[in-house]
Amino acid sequence: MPMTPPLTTMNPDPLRQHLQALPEPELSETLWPRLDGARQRRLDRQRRGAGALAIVLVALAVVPLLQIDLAAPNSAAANSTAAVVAVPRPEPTDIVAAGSDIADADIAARLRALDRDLQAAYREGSSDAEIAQLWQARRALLAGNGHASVANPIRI
Amino acid sequence: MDRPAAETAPADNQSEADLVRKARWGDRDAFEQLYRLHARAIHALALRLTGNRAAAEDITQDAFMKLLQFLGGIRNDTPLRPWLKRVTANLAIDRMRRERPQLTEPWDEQRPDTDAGPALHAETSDLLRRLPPLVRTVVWLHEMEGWSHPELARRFGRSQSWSKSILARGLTRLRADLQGHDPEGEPQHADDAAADDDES
Repeated sequence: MPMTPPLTTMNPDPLRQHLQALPEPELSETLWPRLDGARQRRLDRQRRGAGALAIVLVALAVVPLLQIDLAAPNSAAANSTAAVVAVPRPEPTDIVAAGSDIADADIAARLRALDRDLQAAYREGSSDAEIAQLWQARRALLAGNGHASVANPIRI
Repeated sequence: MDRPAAETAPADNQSEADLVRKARWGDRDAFEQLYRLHARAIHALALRLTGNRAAAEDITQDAFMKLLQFLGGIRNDTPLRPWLKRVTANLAIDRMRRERPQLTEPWDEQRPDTDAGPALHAETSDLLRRLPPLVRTVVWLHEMEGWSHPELARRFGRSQSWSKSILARGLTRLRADLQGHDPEGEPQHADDAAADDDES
């Protein structure tokens, strides 16, 4: 900003000369370390803020890619290691659909009956031994029909 | 910086421009060099306005932190000192308004600040310190930093008449005190009359 002549005088002013002659005082030696510390703290805050922002952005980008299915309450039961007893109530039509290559209608009817029995066993809280027997009978029925590959129940 | 030492002002500006550019990119040494170039003048201004060494150091630190904050918006070839001085003056005024909210009667506070430190020029600086902080600020900014009355009025939220009145009374007081200290000094009646005319 340019210096403008003061309005109070247009002649050399002894007062102004005195004021201009005032020396600049020495700086305290602690001032630069104080300023440097403040500068470093500001830099650290900026870096932390940038880091937090980066994490948020990455999370926003990654979450949609995970395709987490949060609406399948039976899926945990289906993942049980005891596959024989852990299958959720299988729908007869689904079981039949899995064995759609079964030509024998009688076999299909017997399978439907076994599936109904299995559903009833799960619903009524039958013992593991009873349920295991039903699964064993189902496997035997399918194996006897030459469909060993579908002996294991499908996951519904 | 590979410029020959014989170059004068343009090289100084170019050097400062280099420092500004480097400091903008986080170069600590460049920022320190800018501090070394300007801190003493900035601190002196803060001390003149506040009359208090601790306050002057706080304001100096704040001024350079603002420089750090606004480096991105400052052109490389912009002289830094006027910018820093303006920031310093504003910081000092803000501080004064916080500490002394009632600015309507600046002459009520007659006691001088006593914490100006031993480094000040004994005679004139003592006279300056005797002025109330608001009067001292107006006098210094107008007489030494070139602030106009419209600028002073706007900054203090007052009228130009107010600024002129404060200035005139402050200068009258300083000159009278200076004459009292300087046995060869002459009364400045003509200037006082001019100051009175400005008030009308």
